[in-house]
Amino acid sequence: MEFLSAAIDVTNLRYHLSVVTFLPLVGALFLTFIHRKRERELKATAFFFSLITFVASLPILFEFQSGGGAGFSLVEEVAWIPAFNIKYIMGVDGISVFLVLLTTFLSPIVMLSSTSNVHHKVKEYFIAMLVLQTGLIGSFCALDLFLFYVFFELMLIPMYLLIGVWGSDEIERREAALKFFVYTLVGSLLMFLAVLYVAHEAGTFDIRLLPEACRNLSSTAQYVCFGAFMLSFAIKTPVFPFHTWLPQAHTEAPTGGSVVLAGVMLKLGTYGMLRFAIPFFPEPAVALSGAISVLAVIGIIYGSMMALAQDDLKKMIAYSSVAHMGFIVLGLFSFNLIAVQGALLQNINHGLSTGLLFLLVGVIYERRHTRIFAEFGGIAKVMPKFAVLFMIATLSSIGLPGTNGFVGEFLILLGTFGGMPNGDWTWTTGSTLAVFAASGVVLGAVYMLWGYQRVFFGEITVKENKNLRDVTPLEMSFALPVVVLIFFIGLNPTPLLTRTEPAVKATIENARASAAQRMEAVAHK
Amino acid sequence: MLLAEANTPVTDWIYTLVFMAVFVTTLMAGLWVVIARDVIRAGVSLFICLSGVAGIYFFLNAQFLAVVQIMVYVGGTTVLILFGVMLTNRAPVLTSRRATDRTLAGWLATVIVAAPLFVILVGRDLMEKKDVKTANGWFTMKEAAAQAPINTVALGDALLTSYILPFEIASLVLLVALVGSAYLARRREDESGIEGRLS
Amino acid sequence: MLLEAAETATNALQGVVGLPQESYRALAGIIGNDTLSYFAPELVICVAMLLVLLVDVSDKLRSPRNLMLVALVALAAPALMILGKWGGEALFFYPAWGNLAQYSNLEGHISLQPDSHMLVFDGFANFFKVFVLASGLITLGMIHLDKGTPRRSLGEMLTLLLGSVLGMMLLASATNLLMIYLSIEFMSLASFILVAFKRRDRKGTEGALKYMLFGAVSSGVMIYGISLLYGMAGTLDIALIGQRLAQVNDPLAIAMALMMVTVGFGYKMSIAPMHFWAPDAYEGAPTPVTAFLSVASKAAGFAVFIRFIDAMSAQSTGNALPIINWVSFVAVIGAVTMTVGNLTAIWQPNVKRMLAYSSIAHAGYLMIGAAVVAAGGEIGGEAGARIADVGGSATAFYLVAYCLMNFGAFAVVQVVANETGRDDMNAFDGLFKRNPTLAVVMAILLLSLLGIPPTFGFIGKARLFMAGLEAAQAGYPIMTVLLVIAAVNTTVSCYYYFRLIRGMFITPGEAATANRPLIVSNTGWLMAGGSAVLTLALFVAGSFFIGPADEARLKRRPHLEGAAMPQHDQGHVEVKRGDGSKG
Repeated sequence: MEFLSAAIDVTNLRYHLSVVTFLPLVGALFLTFIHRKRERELKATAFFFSLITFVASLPILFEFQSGGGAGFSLVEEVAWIPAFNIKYIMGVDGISVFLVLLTTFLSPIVMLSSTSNVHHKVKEYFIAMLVLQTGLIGSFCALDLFLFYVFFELMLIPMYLLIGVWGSDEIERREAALKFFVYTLVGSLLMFLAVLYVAHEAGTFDIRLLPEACRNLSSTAQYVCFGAFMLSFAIKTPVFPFHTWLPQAHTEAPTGGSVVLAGVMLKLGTYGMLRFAIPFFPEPAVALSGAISVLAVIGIIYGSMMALAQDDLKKMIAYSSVAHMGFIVLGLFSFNLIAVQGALLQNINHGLSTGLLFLLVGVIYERRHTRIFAEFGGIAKVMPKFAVLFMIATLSSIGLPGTNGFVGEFLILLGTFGGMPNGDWTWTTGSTLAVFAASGVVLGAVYMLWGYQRVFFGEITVKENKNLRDVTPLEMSFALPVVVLIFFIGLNPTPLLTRTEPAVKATIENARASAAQRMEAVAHK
Repeated sequence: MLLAEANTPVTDWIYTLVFMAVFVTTLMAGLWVVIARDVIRAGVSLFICLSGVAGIYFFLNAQFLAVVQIMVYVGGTTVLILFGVMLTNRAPVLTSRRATDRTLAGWLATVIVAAPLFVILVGRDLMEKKDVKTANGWFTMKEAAAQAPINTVALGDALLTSYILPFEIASLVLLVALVGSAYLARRREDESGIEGRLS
Repeated sequence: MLLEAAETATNALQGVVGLPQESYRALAGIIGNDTLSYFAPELVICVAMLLVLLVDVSDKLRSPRNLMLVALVALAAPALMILGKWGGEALFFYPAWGNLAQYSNLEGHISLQPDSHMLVFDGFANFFKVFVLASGLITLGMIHLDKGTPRRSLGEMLTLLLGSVLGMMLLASATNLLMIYLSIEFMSLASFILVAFKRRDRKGTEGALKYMLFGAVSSGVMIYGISLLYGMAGTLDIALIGQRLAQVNDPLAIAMALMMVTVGFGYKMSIAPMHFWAPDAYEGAPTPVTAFLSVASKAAGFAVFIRFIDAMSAQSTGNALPIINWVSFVAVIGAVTMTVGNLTAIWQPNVKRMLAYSSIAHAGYLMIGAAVVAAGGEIGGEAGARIADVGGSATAFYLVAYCLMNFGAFAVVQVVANETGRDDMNAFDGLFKRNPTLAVVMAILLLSLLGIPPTFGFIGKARLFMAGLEAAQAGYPIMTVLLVIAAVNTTVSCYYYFRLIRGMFITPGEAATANRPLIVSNTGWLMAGGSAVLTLALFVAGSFFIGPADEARLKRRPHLEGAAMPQHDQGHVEVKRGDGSKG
């Protein structure tokens, strides 16, 4: 305990975010010194490090609260490569703070769940997980574009290995892993060129200065760079039609990998849009918002339809992710405070609900080694507690009032429905999109509930299902915190929304103002 | 300065005629080296070709180079090649297989490389009938012959002053070549065992 | 800090070896030329070459250890000597040896220009010399690691290695086409034999033969180009040629000549379409030689190529080479090279061949830097020189990263080959199980070759891309296209790097050996592990090599008096020969 309090003490000092970011990496280093046969110690150490990372990250919330405002808190700044003005800058604001916390919150849960369902190469699994965590936290905290890119890419390798080594199917997983890697790399390399270009033009990699500095870019440059950034984030999110890597990767990844992938990694895409693509290049962002929103809506409906057609539980949830992320993108590109707030909240919600769903699928997969609907049926009778947990996750995913999903989706639809007050986005387009998106909500309810029905209700048709063990205390211990948060946010989202509001407001209003200014300037010419 | 001083129309005419003869012989012999299927014949053609090149050097008034050419290439290299061919093969006549599948590609490459060179080197003089020497710095052959003060003394001077460094480096190149060829040609029995570990 | 340390070390070394700088100067004073002192590092290697041969024939001294020691000193001492003078004044080596030069200065003769120089000792040359020497040192380590090298032939191998290094050093500072040609022949000749060093190996012989045939053809083409340049400019000094070509109104001839000379350099850099020799030679050669060729030989090729294009595009802006736009030319061959290298590498069943094609692809990436130099040269003036320097130092910087990761990767290949006797892809299957650390080391090096964080290769690539953007900014949109092609190519390359990573981590190894641990010697750890650790460390300390790479600046000569075209009137030329008393 002494060590813990000491750690928190340190984190209250200047390098709070760095400590949170690199604690998992330290843990990974620690693990390398433990013999691979001592699995218990390995698991305990990994869990311990992710837990103290979570504990250490909690003060960020309070520190952030006291900081308030739209600016960044807990900023650290150290020169890294002075010749190119590349710095090591970390900091959080309303947009990133909850994503950081979501990451640190989900990590111990993932570690805990992995203790029961990882059986080979345990040491390497946890090392990969911890490195992945550092990459994730780092990308959310980085305030230097170069540094962001480094963290952004840092996640690829551990995720590749997680899918490729610990994936479920011998042959499929290799393909899925490579596909995941190549897709992400294609996008991110083009973004890297754009990053270098933007930084070269602006003379800085500092994210705090770049929105201003990017004003000087020509329209063409803005459009090209926006395209490069958006391509990368659209693949990551994923936005239709760049989603094809996702179902495969999700299905093949081990439970822990799926949770991190769906829970946190996809959010990097939407985070990147709000943090980089929109404020840096407001003109193309506003001008192309219609097209992107249409893609998002297509994604919502397409994802829902595909989810409906799946015969594999995990694949269904994977496609539901495509639909949910579509909602978030729709919210972001409505340029409406309510919708963007909702999108940001939905980021967290989707992380929680889909994370929980994947965890629970892992639980049942552990027992039956299958995820095909036909193999189940009547599970509720033998695993009542499990059925309740799954129901909560399902309802949260559908967006039932009282759960977190409702708040997010409602805000997004509400904001979109209103349309952009002063943009070229009329009320009609906004409402049309919102109506189509809302149909996605209905479809979501259909496939989720139908899926639930097929798994849990009816007669037990398969013999193996008769003797299934219900949720163990360990499994309960990692599912419950998520459940608590689902209801907490569902019933009282205000603490989150008030904290995100200043930053979101500043970002959206700046972007809109600057876009309008530029368009006017073009019109005058 | 022998050939360059000949400036009357008649000598000029003879000069051109002899040059063309040497030139055509060299070219034909060079071509024959490539297309001959009998290696011995190819070797003999190479002999003629290299001699022709020496002749061209004479026309350029580079007598020293011409002599070197004859000594090194004609006298040395070609004879060596012929010896090599004769000693290493039991068959009285060695024929090489012609790679027919690459003929088209070969001709294509030849044309692509040769056409611009032809335009650069010959075309201008022949077609434009223009004195190009000051425009682009080319020397006409006669001009070069008239101008070059090359003789062995000057050559020696140059080699031991301005070009002393390349001259010395060339000796190192020869050393490396010597070591290398000695290694490659050494008897093979020494490779049987690995003697002693390093360090 | 590094430089200070190096300087201290140099001074100490000079004290020990007994070669204080003053004595050079004194010696040079006697000869009448103090530029000779700049040539001292090369002289050390010359002496060492002979020393290795002597040690090799002496019954008493002959032992692998002694031979290695001589080679070690022969490579380390010159590197330290150069480092000690790093950033010093650049001088031109022109052996105008006292009165002799005056005596023989034949006025009116085009081959002897007063401003013609053989070698130049500038920051750029110094950087590449140290680079080549360091590569040589690493190669020594690799030879030490290699179980396949016949120990009896170590003397020859080291002599040839030193000869090759010397050739590369000369190439790095050569500023005269004759010198360039000679240096290329020098290093090639040594390399041919090194490739064929496993004499019984059919692959080695085949590779060496292809290497030599390609070398012969390309140097033939190159010397033809040189003769054209000489015909147009009347000098062999590249700076002078560059300046005089501006007055030559024959674009076709210039284009042909420059392209033909580039063929000679391209062969050394393994640029498409002059790359066909590389895979066979790399596969057949002993692994240390392969690593040496793929790094040092390529670096030397780039050094001379960059010097050449800088000189050729400088000050010829006026009527600039209308047919051959250097930037487009270099960009196009760069794009073709990286694409060919990457696409072909995907299908290779042999790791050495795969790395060979990967090194071709890397030559393509390095061409970005060369294209920036060309752009800088075309722009001209102060601004152009700055951009050209950015391109040169970006290339130099990337080469450092490339050197680390490529040598490391080859060291791992060597370690695995020592154990399994194989170097095909399947030999790496299940490596993680047999030796997890080695697999991780190899993965780090491959990721660095791929160029993604957190590796030094990523910083190198970023530096190269930034330089490319600089040129794109300066009005060369083709650079943007080249960079996009490079980015796409990087993605393509992840297919084959990941094939190996997948083999090591995911594919189970062959049943017979799957569980047998793979033993790695200390040298193996030093070579492979060391480069992997450095690859990571230099990512964190990203700016460590930026300073030295920035020092790699070309010394440009101001517009020369002799640059004007020599006037050769028809007919009479007075040949004046000075004598000793004159001047």
